[in-house]
Amino acid sequence: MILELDSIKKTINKKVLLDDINLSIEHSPILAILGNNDEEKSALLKIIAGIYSCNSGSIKINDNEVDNNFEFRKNIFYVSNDPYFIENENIEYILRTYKMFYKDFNIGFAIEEIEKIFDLNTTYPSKLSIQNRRVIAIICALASESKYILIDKTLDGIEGPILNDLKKLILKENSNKGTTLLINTSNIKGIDDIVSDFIVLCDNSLKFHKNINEENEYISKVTYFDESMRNPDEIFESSDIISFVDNKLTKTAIVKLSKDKNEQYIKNKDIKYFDIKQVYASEIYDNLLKYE
Amino acid sequence: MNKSNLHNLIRIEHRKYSYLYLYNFAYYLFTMIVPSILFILIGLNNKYFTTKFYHFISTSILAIFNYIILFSHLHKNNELECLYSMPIKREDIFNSKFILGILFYIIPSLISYCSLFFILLYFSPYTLINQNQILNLFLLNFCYYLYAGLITIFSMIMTSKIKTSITISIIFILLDYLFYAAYTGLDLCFFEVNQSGVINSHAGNGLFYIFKNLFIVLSPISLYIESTVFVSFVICFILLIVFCISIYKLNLYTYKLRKPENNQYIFSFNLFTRLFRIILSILIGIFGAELIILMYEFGQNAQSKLSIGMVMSFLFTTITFALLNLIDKNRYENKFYKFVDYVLAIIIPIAIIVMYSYYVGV
Repeated sequence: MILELDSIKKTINKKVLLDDINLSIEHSPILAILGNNDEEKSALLKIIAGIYSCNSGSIKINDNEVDNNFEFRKNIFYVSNDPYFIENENIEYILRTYKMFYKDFNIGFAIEEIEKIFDLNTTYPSKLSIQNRRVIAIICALASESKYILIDKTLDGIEGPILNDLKKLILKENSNKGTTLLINTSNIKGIDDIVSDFIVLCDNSLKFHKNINEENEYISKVTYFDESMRNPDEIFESSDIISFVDNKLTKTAIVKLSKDKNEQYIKNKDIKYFDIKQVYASEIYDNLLKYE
Repeated sequence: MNKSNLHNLIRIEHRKYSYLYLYNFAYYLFTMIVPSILFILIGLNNKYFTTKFYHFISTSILAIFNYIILFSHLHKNNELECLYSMPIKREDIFNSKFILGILFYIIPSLISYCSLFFILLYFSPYTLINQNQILNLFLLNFCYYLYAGLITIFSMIMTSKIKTSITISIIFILLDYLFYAAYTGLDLCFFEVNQSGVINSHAGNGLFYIFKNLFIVLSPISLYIESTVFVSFVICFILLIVFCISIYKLNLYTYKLRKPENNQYIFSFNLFTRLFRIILSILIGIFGAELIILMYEFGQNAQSKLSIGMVMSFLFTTITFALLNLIDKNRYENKFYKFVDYVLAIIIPIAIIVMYSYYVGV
């Protein structure tokens, strides 16, 4: 399945939030949505979820418009940062209500996962703390068997072993069922280890969209010592450099490498001392901001 | 319409709000059954059915209460986002809540009306209850409940705070009473139904009696009161239903149009804000003046009534305009527009009152 956003524009009360957003999501990534403005990121997810309408542009799944097409809307599950559950109802009843609208909703899976943390019969989700409601909401989203799960700052604030368990669950669902997750987060470091793609929204538009580990291209952090003190674009191609930090003695560059541009490529540039490390989305994002 | 989704929604919401049955029944118990028993005990068994003003008030309160609760999701961001993100049509969400509002009213009210009927039939020393009268009352109250409920839904859609919605609903419903007062005078508290079901109206005291037919068509309460004989009742009933269907269609359209992202602004539609403010100020200005003059019998002659009417109209318009400005956070950015709107709202009701006075020969 391919999710396509085509020239999305959104204004709220004359304030432009998103302008000409084009994005195509394939290969079921776990995609982090980064940026300084929470309103923009949240608006993008809410437009995909059908909560907000966009001023112009369209959202398509496999070339079919999602708007008002409820067969395709079933492929999208939105989890808010303040999840709502029906008041005074226990978890089992709430799972049954989800089943009414998402025909493939896996009640067994949800019960199994929620039971590890909460007592099913005595827990009323509406009375739980916001963090616990977020945990239940994410498990429900994964149980919905939707192809696209939109997590709007829901993972923020969940910490410790519960966050680790949730991340394992997300990875498992992503690899087994090909579920695509779009995660809006302010704490990219917390989910660094599961993110495969990320986009950066800045000044109402999409500034950066990158797969961290594509088949033929991967982003790495190269720390090196260059005796001849050259500029980084004399060593790497300038289009490959995402960020660069000069530490006086050593230099650190976050660069795109590929099968052709690997360790040997760096050695060929007369650099004797260097180190290549895996790079996380948070690091790219932090350095991207510095570099800009 | 996706029947399965609508059916599922009704099931869920019915369980969620089932406590409304209890509230509605308790409301009928204390506003209908207990007062009727008291009337029997003091020998006024038919009074309950004849004092219809009381029914309007009680039905309106119930309609506002039920529909404010049922449509409260519009003012709760997390619930609204949850509902709108699910694969459910907005039309189904609207219809499920609208149907439940009818259900929560009709079952307790049917039980209450039947109980009351049997209480009066077996325990009352009088046997004056006309079966048509009780059926008419039930059907017309049902229509009025629908009307008041739809007005409440409209207020809920157009505003972003529950308190504002309640205020706007009450203003709209009160306007209906003012329409009635405009051509009858303030007799609406005292109209009575005689034993054959005919309403003894004291119409003809109001300043705007010449516009009576227009007011009847515009006002559900007038339609209700003008239903004097059975044939006329059917026409009024049909007109009320047509009135309700029109508001239902308008509500459904505005509900689908309403944007949750504009929730923080008091009115969802900017154009509506200005128009609403002017129209409401004008109406309150005209009818408020009329109400006060009739209520306190101000003015010894037509000339003094005209002067008092103008002053009252000015005061009512100014107060309404100021109040609407106070509750509306999305106030005028341009002070000139504010001035123009205020002047229009002041001039139009005074002009109508003066023109009317000259028309009737003051």
